Amino acid sequence: MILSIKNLNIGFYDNQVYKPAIRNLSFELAAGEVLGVVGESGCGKSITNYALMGLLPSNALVTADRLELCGKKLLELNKKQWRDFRGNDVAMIFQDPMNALNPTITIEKQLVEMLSKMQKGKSGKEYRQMALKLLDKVGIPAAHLRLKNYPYELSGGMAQRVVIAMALACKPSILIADEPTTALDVTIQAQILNLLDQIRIDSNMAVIIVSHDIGIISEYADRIQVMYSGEVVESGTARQVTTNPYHPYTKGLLESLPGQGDKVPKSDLNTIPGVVIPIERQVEGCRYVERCPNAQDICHTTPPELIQISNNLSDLSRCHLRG
Amino acid sequence: MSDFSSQTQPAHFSGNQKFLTKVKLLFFRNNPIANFALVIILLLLAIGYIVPIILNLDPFGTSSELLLSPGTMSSNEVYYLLGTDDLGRDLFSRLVIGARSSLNIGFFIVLVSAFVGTSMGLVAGVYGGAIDAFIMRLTDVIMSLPSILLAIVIVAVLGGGLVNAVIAVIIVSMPRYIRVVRSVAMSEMKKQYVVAAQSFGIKRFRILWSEILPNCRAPVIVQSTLGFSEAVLDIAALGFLGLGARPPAADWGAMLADARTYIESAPYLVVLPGVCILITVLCFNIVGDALRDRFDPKLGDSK
Amino acid sequence: MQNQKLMNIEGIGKNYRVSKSFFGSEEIAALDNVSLELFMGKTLAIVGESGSGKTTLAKIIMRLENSSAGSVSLINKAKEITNIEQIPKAQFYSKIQMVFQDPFSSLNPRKKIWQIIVAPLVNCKTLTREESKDVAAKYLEMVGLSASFLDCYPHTLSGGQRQRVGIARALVLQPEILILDEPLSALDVSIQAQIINLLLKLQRELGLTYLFISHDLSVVKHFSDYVAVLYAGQLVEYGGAIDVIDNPMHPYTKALVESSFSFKNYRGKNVEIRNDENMETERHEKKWKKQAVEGEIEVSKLRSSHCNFASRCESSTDACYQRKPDYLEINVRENLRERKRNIACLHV
Repeated sequence: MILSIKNLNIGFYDNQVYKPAIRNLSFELAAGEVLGVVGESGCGKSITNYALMGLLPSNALVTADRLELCGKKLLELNKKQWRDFRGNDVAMIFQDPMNALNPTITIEKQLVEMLSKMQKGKSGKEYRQMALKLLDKVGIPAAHLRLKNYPYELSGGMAQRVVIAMALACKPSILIADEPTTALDVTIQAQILNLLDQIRIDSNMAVIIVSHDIGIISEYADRIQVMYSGEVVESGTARQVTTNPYHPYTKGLLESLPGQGDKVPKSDLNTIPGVVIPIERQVEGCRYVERCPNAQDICHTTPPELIQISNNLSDLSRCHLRG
Repeated sequence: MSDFSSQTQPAHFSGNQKFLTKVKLLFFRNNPIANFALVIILLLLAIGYIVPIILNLDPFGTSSELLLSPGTMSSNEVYYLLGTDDLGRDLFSRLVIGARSSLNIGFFIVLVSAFVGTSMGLVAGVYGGAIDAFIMRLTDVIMSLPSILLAIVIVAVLGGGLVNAVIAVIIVSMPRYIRVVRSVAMSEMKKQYVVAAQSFGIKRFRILWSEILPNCRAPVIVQSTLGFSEAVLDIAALGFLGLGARPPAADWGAMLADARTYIESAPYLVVLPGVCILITVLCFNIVGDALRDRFDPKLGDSK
Repeated sequence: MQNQKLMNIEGIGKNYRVSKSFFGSEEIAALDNVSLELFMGKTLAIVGESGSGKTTLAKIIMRLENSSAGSVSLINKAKEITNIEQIPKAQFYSKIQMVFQDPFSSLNPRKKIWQIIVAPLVNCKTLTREESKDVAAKYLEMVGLSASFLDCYPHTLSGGQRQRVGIARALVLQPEILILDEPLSALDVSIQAQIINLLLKLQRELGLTYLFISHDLSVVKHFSDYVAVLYAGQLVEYGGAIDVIDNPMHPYTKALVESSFSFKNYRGKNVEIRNDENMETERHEKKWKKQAVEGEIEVSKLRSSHCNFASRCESSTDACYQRKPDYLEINVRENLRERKRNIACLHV
């Protein structure tokens, strides 16, 4: 296993008050596997990624029984080790590629600067050759012309390809993609995901992809994790979660999408009543109970555990009610 | 953390709580220095406006027996707290009245220059084009000269005296408001709610007034606080140069200038008005900076 | 009066001059000869990528920008046609309103909710504070929010609530036509469904006509009656929403449909389930490939003489580079029914 997390808790101190954000997160990820994390804004799906990158603000508190990435215990790393770790084992791409690139420097300079930090002792010409190769690899047409461009001269899709090229330069064993295609057009979105998958297969890299779009997650990911208010409420193979959802939140989410089989056009869509419980609030029972259509007494009093729901070990759901 | 959803239920306060919240809002979180400065400013306001009402101060009455006498004393049933100056006038009275006049002048300058500057900045930012170019070139001209030098030039043209000095300082301090408000207006004009307002058929002037202006409040308050200290300083400087308040008016700058001759025999005459100017300017600057931190969304303490 | 025409958009063109280098500039066509119609109580969806000119079209219809060619006209109940340029602005904006994409920047952060909602009324009547609040409360209720929000500032509201406020603001002038500029794209999935339901309810109850700008085909299919597909400023396909999305004919529309994601095409769908331990590893080694059209949208030069999509089109021929395809009406036979479809492609 390339990533192994057990009972991860993340919270933030706000004026000396501890506000939990991620509760009891446990999962494992193998090399070459794609994990899709889906959830609504504010459910904490990005926070885990920042923790894996060591990019949480200083008021954050991370505790875990186990938090190992590529055999390194993340909780024990110091600042310098984090820097090496980020460069070599794990890389991240973001929603807005334009923000991830320095607007005042050409693509070539940014790539060369990064490569020269990564692999020392080569000539400028060699670095430029490597940069060119990287851009070719991520499918940028006429890459030698693009090298001289500034980020603003690129389209969103091209900029995202450059960001991917930079992320790949260090040959990470795990790539975290936080809403990588949200800012892009539909056709470009498909191109970028194709590219990511090509690279994943070539280098046997594990991918964590985070999105609010269930369509993207279910088509691209092997395994899906549904987050709700700081907890994983359901996880399983793409097939399991999309065809046979177990947790009422997953069901509600899938049913609220337009284009369901029996829906007449322009008829009302199913919605989930109520609002998301604030992520920092502590409750006695299930965090979804206020919105759940078939809540029972036990749901109000006892927090449900993640339990296995099928033959497959990885199909889990956090719900008291079976079947 | 932008990832947290905000509370959706509106908060309700009772009257008493509301007052307490307002008092709390006046002070700064995690900034004891600014709070200290704020207290000093409140104290200064009290001294300038309340002390003259309670005590019978006489800043002009001379006494031929007590010239340049330092320290606390009393004679002829007049009580001198901080000694007398070269004409035997009560220094404490003069300082207090000077504080009042400095505060008055500061407030007046800030009000007028903020009003005119904000209006010009709004017009420049909202209408753009030739009006914008004209206003901005005007500010460029004003800003291209050191402010005190320009003020001196203006006073020289208009003639000395407190009124002309105030006019000069108003002109000199306008560019800061124009620039800040114009930049706010220009960035707000690009936001969708302005397009929305246009899509109701609302006229430009109305957009300027009801959509853009409320967004200028925070930066104008910050600039006003910083502008206040600068105004006090400029007026004192002009007074020191003999271009502001005329003797015998009690003005900190003019008092400094008068006392210059006695700097060796009676140093307190120079030190006390100087310290007054220093404290006022410093406190307003500290509070202005703290306000800027509070209002600046980038520093994340705006809500 | 079924299918009464409300608005006629005819031959709209919009050119921009962009500076290419220090000396020269060239003209590009953001919109080129776009003709559409709006029918009363119906929804027309406009679909396209960024750079396709869909927002420019909305702005021209809202008179926030001037067109370089063509005209937009409103048709009243007596079938009189008036060019929108000739309608006084106050009257015009009481007929047509807009809901914006970003619920965060489309509400003024310094104003209270009731002030935001009654803002459009400023040109018609003067209201006292109490009257304004009453009006605002009425429209808040109409969009499913309680009156307790009246005195809130926008930043205390969630995205969905803000978008409801934006809709209430657009309704306050009682318009006939609402232009919805990607009103869902900034919202979460479950909130999207709520807003779609709200818009559908308003359409049923108030008989509103929508011009719905979107890039999400599954929403468009559910929400609209007609769909127009824009590519680089040109209309490439127009027809009934379900017809077009289920049976796209223009290569670009096909590409759009193929590259949209749905949870029904989950990964490993075609892999047989075997209950052995190797299943997992086997599946993620399997190559996955989404149908994706190559290349990116390019701005169209003014008076270009080829199909804008030709460079990305799989079935393009030399002819596609030699002349611009005409925008033609054709009849499509589908399920034994004749349907009208407009399409701009040489190969259909």
